[in-house]
Amino acid sequence: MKSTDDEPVVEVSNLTKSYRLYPKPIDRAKEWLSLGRISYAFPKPALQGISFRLNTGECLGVVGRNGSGKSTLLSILAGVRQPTSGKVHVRKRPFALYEIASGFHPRLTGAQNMVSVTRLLGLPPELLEQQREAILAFSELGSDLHRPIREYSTGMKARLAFSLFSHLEPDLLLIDEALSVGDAAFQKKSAKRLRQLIQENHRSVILVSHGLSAIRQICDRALWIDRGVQKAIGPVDEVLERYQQSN
Amino acid sequence: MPGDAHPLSKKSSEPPYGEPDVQIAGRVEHKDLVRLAWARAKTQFGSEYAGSALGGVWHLLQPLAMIGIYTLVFGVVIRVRSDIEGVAYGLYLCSALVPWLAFQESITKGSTSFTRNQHFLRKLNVNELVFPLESGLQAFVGLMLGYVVVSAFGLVTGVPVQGSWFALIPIFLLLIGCGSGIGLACGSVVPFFPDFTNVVQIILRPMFWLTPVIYPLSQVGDGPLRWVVLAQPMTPFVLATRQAFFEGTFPEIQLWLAMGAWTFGTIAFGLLILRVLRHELRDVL
Repeated sequence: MKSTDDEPVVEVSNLTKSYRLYPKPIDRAKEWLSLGRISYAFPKPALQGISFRLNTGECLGVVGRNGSGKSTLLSILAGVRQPTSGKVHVRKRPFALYEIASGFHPRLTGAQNMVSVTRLLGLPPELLEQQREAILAFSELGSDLHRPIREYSTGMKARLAFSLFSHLEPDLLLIDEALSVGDAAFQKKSAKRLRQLIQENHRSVILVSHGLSAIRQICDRALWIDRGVQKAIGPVDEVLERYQQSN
Repeated sequence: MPGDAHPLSKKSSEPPYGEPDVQIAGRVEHKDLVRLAWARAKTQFGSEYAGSALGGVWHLLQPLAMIGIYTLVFGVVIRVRSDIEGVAYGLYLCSALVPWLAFQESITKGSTSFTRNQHFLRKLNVNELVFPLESGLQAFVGLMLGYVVVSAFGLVTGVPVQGSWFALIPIFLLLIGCGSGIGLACGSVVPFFPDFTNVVQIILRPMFWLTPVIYPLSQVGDGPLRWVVLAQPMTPFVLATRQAFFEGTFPEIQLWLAMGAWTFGTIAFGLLILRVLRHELRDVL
C-alpha cells in the first residue's frame, strides 16, 4: 500500500478487538469437533471504538493503565493481531520495537542477531551494512557486539534493539515501553534520537509509555485508553492532565 | 446439543460488527519466503552447535549412534536380512533410516515451529510460513549430510556410484515437503492445544514400525498388513530411495505419483489448516 503526503500514515476507525476465551481448554476441542456449530467461547473485549489518525512526521503518545489495551493496539497496527471489526489502514511499513530484544537468539552474538533480525524483517542486508557503524556507535556496545547475547544485561539488549531499529530507516515506529529500559543516559539519548527521526527525517512514531515525561518530550498528541475504551485524544498536555486527574 | 440455546453460543459471543478492513504495508511476501527461510536455516544450523566442542559433527553422530544400535539389535541379535542381494543389512537399514529420521525431524520441528518462534510471531508482521519452511530446510540439509555418510558407507561395502543416485535429490525434496506439510498442519494446531505435540510423538511410533525401514516389504506377506504398510506416507519414499540407491534404476512412475500425491496433499492440508486458524493463531501464542 502506497502513501501520499496528504494521506495519514495510520488511519484507525471504530476499531474493536475481542479475544475468544474458553472456560476450560477442552471446550475449544468440543467446539472444533462440533465443526463450529456450538461455540463455548465468550468474548473478552480488549479494544472498543478506537479512532485516530497519524500523519507523517507526527508522534502519538498512548497512555492508560496496565491492561487497558495499549499493547493490543500496537500489535494490531503492526499487523500481528487481527482486529475483530473496524478499519485499520497502515500505509507505511511499521517497525514494532517492543520486547524485540527477547527475540534475540541467546547463542548468537549481537552482530549476528542484527543480521538475523534484519533478514526476518525482510530488509536488504546492504541497509544494515550502510548503517552498521552508526548502530555500533549509538549502542555504545563496542567489542561486546561480538559476544553472545546470553552474556548481555537487559539494558544492553534494549540498547542494541533500539539502536538497530532506529537506524533501519523506519517510516513508522511502534514503541512499547522500550525507552524505559536502560540507564538514564541512554534513555535521554534514545528520546533525542526519536525527536530527530520525527522532526528532521519526518518519520512517524506511536509511543506507548507509562513515563509521561517521555511522552511530553517527544509526542505532539496523546491518546488515552481506559479498559479498552478511548477516553480522550488531543494535545499532549490536555490529555495527560485528564489522565492524571483520573488516577 | 446443536439445537439448544447455549448460554455461550456463537451468536452471543461474536460482536455484531462487520468484517474488519485491514491494510498493513510491508509484509514479507511469498517471493522472499524461501530466501528468508534458507538464511534463517543456515543461521540456526550454525547456532545449534555454537559453543560445542564437536559442532556440526553431532548432526552426523546422533543418527550414526542410532543406526549402530538398530544394526546391532536387528542385524546381529534378531538377524533380519535385506532383500537385495549382496547388500549388508547395516547399509540396507541406513538407506531408509536416515530419510526416516529427517522425515520425523521435519514433522516434529514443524509442529513446534510456531510455538518456538512465538516471540517473533507475537511482535512482527512476518509471514508465518517462514518458520515451518525453515524447519523443513534444516531437515533437508541434515538429510543430505546424512546421505553423504550413507553413500560413503555404500562405496566402502561395494555399492557402485550410479546415475540413479541423482534421483535421490527430488525424492528427498518431496519427502521433506511431505513431512513439512504434516508439520505445518500440526504446528497450526499446537498453539491452541499444546498437548498435541505429545499426540504427534505417539502417532510417529506406529508409523515408524509400519513403514518398511528396518524390514523389507517382501517380509510383510500378502495379507491386509501389506496394505497398511503400503498406505504409510513414508513407504513410497523408502521404496524409491532403495531402488535408486541400490538397484541403479530410476523409481517407477507409480512411486513418483504416490510421493507427489503425499507431498502435495499434505502441503495443501497444512496450508488449509493454517488458513482456517490463522486469524486467531497469534492471539493464543
